[in-house]
Amino acid sequence: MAIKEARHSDMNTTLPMLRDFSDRFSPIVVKELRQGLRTRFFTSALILFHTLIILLLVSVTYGAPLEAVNGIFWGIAGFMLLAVMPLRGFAALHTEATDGTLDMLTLTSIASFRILYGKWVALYSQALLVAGSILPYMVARYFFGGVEILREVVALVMLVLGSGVITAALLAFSSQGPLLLRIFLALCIGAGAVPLGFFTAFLVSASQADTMVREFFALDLWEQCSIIGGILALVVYAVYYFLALGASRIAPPSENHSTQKRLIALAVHGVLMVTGLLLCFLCTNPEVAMWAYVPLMFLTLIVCMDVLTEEMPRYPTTVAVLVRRGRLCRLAGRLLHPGWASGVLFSAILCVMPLCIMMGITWKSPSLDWDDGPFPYLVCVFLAVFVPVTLRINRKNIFANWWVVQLCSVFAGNLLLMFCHTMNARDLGVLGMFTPITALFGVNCVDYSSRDSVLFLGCVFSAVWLIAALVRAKMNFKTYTLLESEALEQAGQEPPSQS
Amino acid sequence: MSSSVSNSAPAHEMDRSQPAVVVEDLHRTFGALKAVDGVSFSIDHGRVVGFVGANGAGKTTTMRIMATLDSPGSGKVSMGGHNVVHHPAKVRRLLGWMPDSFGTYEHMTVLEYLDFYARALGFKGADRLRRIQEVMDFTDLTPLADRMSNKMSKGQTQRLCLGRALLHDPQILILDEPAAGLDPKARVELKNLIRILAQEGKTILISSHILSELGEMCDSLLFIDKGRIVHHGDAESMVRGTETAGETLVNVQIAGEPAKLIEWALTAPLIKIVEETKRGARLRIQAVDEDTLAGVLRRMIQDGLPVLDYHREERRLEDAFIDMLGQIDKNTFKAQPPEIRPQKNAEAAN
Repeated sequence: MAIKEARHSDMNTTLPMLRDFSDRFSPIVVKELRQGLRTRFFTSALILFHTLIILLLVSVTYGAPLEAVNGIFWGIAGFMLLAVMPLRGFAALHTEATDGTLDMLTLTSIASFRILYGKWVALYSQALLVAGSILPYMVARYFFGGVEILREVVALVMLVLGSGVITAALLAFSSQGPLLLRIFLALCIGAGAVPLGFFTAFLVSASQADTMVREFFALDLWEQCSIIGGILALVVYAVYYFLALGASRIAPPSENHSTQKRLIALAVHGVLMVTGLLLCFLCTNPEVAMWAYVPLMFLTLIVCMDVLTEEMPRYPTTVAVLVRRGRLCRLAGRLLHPGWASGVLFSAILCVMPLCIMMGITWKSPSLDWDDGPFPYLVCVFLAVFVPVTLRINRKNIFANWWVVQLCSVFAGNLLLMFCHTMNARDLGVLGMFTPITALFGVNCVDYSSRDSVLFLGCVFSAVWLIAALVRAKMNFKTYTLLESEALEQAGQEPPSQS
Repeated sequence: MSSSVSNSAPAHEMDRSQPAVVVEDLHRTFGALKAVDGVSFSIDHGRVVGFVGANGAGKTTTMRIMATLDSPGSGKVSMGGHNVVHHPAKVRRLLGWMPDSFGTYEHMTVLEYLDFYARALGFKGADRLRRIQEVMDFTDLTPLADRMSNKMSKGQTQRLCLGRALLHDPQILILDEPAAGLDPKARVELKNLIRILAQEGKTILISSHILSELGEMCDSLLFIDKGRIVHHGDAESMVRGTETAGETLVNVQIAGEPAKLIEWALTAPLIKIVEETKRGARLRIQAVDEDTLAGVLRRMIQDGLPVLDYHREERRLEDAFIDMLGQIDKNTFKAQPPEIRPQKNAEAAN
């Protein structure tokens, strides 16, 4: 078909404008940057931020106390980087879905992960722009005095890294439809950012931070590199995981975004577990292993929440990647195929990893014991992730259901705690042991002497939820068998046996 | 407006030995609701097919499954010879999709909007600029290049969406209610664009409520009701198929209040009211011979109705559709299920 000669008269003046971004940029990054830099929100926030900082610095010349100015300066910077900039991703995917533009994106060659990644890059680069604009003020404050520039640089780096993770998390959860759920999740992320805020405040204001920074620089180079590398690797993984989580929620049902995510999760969790165990058994103080345990615990809870809220697959294309690689891979599919059923088995394995480190710490540490130490509490925490698999309060939205069940458990636990204390009926605390989270509340009601046994029983009862989840998952494995048969049929191979 | 929008790039992989679209026994349920209940049809290459049905009849669900945006509960859908379940990526390369409701982006000009999708579809450098230029020219968006994409009229937005759908020169176009909410001028413009695309040999499936326009544009029509295809054929066969033998449609206009005519028609034998019009009514008379029809007019005049106009009317597609739905409700309609003819093109190809 012949192409008609285009009319160049108008186009000659407009088309060169499209050369503002090279072809090497991701289309989503180009789109988001074009849009993002023009939004009133960004420009107003940036102008307001700089106005406040300038006013703050001017106040120093009028005799305002330096300590207070420093505190306010970092308060504003932290708020901007940890709250204002990431919050721009709060409804990013939901808006795309409701406007119908997500469908159109799906029909292009951009993969779901690239959509998330592009949005994150655009938002994060704007946060970096803000972070970069803080530097001149830091230098200016250095000249006013009372500023430890090294500590402040470390604090800024922590804020920048934290901003990246929070932006990724908010973007991931922006795929969820219900506004209340998104607000709740944003609050949870905010709660997770509070320790980072405190750490930044500690870095820039407390004199002990000086010792900490000096101690760090006194370490060998390989130790310094390991710590920095470890932190960066964790940040990169957290960003990756959140983006992959969001991508799996917006992907067309025919695509598999779970297997790769789970494989990487297994590898990262394995590395963290081994690191934790090595630290536990090789260091003189086994509690050093907490540095591996704490991130592993949070990551495990996030991954479990994700894989246990995945919809069961409907397309054979989603299982084809493993099915075509032989019997062993088909077996691994019960762990790695998308869907909550394989997620139950996968989560069970993941939960064992942080518990292994905690077992090691409890075993080696003289200050911790098995009954009263953190171990049984953590067993309850990890078992709690499986309860929503068997309890379906919200049948329409499996993701919302997970959170509703957990919130109901916390609410019921609190009610139990209040009832026991106000009625002085401490023995009723044992009622809590029927679900993992209420067991954690119930154990605080009973007499101190009987806490160990109640907690033990709580763990045993909580394990029933895991067994119920496993049974339910097993019953749903037939979906995988069916899809595997279809995938094999499509590939012209023998179908797997029904066993 | 340009007369062509076909890309100079090589055509996407398409199996021309099979019909462009094959839908076989498609089912899709949402909870207890059967949105699509055993839909089957096929569309040959280069055909323009109208997809007609009331709201909630299952049009959009069927189209979304065809566009790989939803999954079939059961059944098989092939586009250009590729199964939408097994090869969604291949199907997407062949497909241009224009949804019934869609958003544009804030703070983005028309040019940037098309540039974004051209980048997303893999166009690079000068090719991308050329393609955007072709599409803007075709859809007459050039004067609007610098306009913010979310600040345009409905008609302009529709053209922009069509332009986006055409960027990768798809061989199959699925247009869901493209004329909804358009003013008459924009509707004519859109109709012209679709006509040109049809002349270029693209396979087009259009859903619309404006049946008269579909009748003009389309080679055949697919009627869907309660998730089932109830008729597949051209507009004429549809009109004929629902025609009740021995009836004549008459348009009557009177001076004064049309209520008088309605009152009269309610009591008159052999007459049914089809619809009230501004100055009278459309009536169905259970007779075809001229004497009886003349007798009805005579009776009107005798009964004091000031008749200004009395003429026989051709049955409209809308009437045929409404009649057909009525007949389905009474189980008297003989459904004309579409034939799936995968052999036809295979023979032609051979």
